[in-house]
Amino acid sequence: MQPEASQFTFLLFSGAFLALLMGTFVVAMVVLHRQRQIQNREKIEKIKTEYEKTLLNIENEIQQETLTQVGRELHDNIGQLLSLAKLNLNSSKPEKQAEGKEYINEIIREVRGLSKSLNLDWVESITLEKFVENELRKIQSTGFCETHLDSQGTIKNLTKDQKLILIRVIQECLNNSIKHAHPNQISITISPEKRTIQISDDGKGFDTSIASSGSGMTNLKKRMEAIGGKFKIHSTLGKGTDINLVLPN
Amino acid sequence: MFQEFFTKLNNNLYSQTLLVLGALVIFSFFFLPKEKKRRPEFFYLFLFVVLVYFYENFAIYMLVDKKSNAFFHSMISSTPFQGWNIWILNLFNYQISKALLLIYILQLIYSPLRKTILKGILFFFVGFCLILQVSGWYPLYNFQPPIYFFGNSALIFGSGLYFIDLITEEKHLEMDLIKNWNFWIITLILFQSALSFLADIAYDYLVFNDLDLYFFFNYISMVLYLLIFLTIGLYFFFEIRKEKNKTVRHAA
Repeated sequence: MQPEASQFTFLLFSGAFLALLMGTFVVAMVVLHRQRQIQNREKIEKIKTEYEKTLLNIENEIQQETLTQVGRELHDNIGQLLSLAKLNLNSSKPEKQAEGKEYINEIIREVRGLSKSLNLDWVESITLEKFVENELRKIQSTGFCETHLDSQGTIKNLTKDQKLILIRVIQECLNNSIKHAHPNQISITISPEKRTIQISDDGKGFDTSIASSGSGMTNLKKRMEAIGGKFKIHSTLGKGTDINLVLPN
Repeated sequence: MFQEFFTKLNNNLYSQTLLVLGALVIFSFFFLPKEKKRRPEFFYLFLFVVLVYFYENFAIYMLVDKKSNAFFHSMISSTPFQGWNIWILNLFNYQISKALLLIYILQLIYSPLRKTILKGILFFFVGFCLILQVSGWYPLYNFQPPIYFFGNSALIFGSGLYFIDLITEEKHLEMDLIKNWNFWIITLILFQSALSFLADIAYDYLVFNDLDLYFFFNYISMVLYLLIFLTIGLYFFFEIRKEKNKTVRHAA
């Protein structure tokens, strides 16, 4: 064979080999990429399902609590008002009948208020700051402990679902504090700039390094993660507990 | 002098193809919409094409215009001028174009860690080139094997980081890989760098023992360079067409 022809054959074969190598590399990359795409889609689907499950659980919990509260209201408040209205309306005295009508008006107002709390539309209309204020007022009114709210404005850009989950997490944190810590004071700080909510109490505190038997803290952490936030807890025995909820941007 | 330049050009198929292809790519860049021209991936590719187009032709011209070449040589060295144009390839091909391609890969990577690693490599490469040249260990007018080695290794490593990013980062996983022009460009860059790397480290052996293989590395490397140009050109062309179709749809 001529030297030039042999050089050409060599180039041809080497070029073909290189092209084959490149082709194999590209095919391998594409296959690997597709596999990862499928895995990623499955992961996203799982996170979505988990998120929907969390949301459903929270909605159920809130509705359950609302129903308990409605039952209590019907028995303790509206029931009493209805009895009083009946007594007054049965009277022959016109002033008593007028008082009875007043009671009926009050009952209508109370029932309207209760019906509003039965669906979750209130979550959209209420600001986070207002909700926290209401919750703290409720605790203070029971005389269980002192409460304090430090708010530098309200946190914006939260979807209804995010707000719902956040409201439930705050409620849970407050419930835990009342149930387990027996504090003298509970305070909440809302920082819209940092997008954080800090819940502190001066109660018993606990050792965070010891794994708890319940799933409360893990649940709260998971719920915050479900909305892209963070749940940080710091507690020392006898020195109270600080919970920092970091919200997504 | 210019006639000599064109005669040299006429004898070199690679340079001729590069001249035509390069001009088309540069020309097509100006038809891209403004916001795309400003996007780093397009802008760095354009800079790369302009740079290669410039130094390839400048290198041929310097072989013809010995007076200018001698003038440039006297600026970078006090050694006698031997008529070489290697300093152009050393500076533009082995240093600036490698750094530019590393920057191009860098802005395609999403992972902060991989970005930091690549930035580190880039700074180290630039520092390495400066130290070797300023200290006089490997002057610009002579062969610079450590810089060739480092430049090609950095590009191979950078491409590797990009491919890892491609199969791990969620943003990359959302796209169709086959339709992604950057993937094809970096694949070509990887193979071109790998071949240059092999040719450069085995230079001494190949020149004396297997000249065919040495030429093979060089030819294929040239073909890959042309393919990179072609892919960049097609990338620009399809982007222009996409934009045109969008305008037509809007008008309809």
